[in-house]
Amino acid sequence: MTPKVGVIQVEYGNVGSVTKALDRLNANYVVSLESRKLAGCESLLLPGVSSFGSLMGQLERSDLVQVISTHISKGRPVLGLCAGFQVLCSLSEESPGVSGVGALSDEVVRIPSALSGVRVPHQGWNEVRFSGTNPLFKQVPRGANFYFSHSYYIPFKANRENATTNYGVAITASLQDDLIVGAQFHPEKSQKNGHIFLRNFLSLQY
Amino acid sequence: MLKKRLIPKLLVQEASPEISVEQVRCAVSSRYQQFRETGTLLSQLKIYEANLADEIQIIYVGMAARDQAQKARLIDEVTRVVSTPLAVGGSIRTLDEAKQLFDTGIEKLLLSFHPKRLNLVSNVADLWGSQAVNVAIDYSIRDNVLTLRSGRDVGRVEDVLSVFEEIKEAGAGEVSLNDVSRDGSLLGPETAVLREVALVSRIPVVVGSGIGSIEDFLDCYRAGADGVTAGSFFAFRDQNFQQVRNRLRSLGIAMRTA
Repeated sequence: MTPKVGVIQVEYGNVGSVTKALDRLNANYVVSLESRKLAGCESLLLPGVSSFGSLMGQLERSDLVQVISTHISKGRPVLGLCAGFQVLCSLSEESPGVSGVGALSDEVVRIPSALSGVRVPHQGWNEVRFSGTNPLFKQVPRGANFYFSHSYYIPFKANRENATTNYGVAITASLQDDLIVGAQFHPEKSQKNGHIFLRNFLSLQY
Repeated sequence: MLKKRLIPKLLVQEASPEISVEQVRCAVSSRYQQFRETGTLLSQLKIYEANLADEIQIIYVGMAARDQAQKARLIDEVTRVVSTPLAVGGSIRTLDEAKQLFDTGIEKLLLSFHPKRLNLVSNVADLWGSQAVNVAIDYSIRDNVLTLRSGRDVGRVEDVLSVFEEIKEAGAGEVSLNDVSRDGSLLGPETAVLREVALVSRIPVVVGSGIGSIEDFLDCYRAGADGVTAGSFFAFRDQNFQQVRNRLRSLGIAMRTA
């Protein structure tokens, strides 16, 4: 049976909390670093708790950049979480000179601490604002908080399907470009709201 | 807007392989030296999660050397059931021990400041990011002299900033402040050190030890704490967690409700 979700087995990440969240959703998944196994999955999930450069390095060493790009070109869902979302972008201030997967044209920048008077990392629960038609937030209550834990972010852009949170700057909390989905927060740590978000991702039709 | 964090603290003294996860007990401390059991860890965690605890600290104390490997095993079991972000610590000394804990899905590692163990802080921050490591300054103040639990005399209260700088330099993404002499006292936290650090810190600040009333939480948040931990308060003050949260909200502190 084709596993529904291929979880990329990053070494320094939060694979443990992601798989447990998938267990709670009774999702069918496999955890792997093997390109062939992952290419055979309906969707891909890229967890991330590490630096942009470190995560890209891991993906390159395991020949997974191509797997992700191919999945996207075939129109299959890909979900990047936190650093996993950031590496889908083109580049990041965190790791100058390192190219991201480039599936999204956004650039990742550091949360301006001094300028905005906020402490970095952005850590804890923050309210995410989303439109009523955003399929990823179906059944998520208005005013819902999600758990964030990051120092770099993707600036919010108004003209697309995305959700935002405020932390001195307008942070892209999640975005959806066709079936590429990125979440800056950790749905696997965001209790009920995160559970619903993940369930909605798993329900995306392609 | 980022919400302030309300963080229950649970201590675990024993987690030998013969005990099932459901039977593991948790405790609170007094001056980091005496311990009182307060229930079973798993049931406490579930209650806190149901009451929307923003984060939970689990700290191992005085565990037998033979049970070191059980630290990660226990966390692995509880995280199947509880998804609230966990900060775990208690004599974690090596990168290997850290990795075992991170692989279970914890949010961050709690390390106590020690000048000779800053390498571990840097290594963890390099691999998992600065947000993954919280370093605690455990101290006491007597006759206006601040002393660290590791024994070092720091000097005046303001001099705590030199320790804070070392922690920041090492790459920690969060600092904890604990007055050991007030631990478990329910008499109120020490806030002079908090104010000094809060004034300059550009990383999140968590404070604990001595919380005994709603006003104590209020003082800490207003003095600049991003998170406040409490162990004995929730165990013995017969305070409903949600009521604490609601009261703080009504007093103007940003707390999540959903």
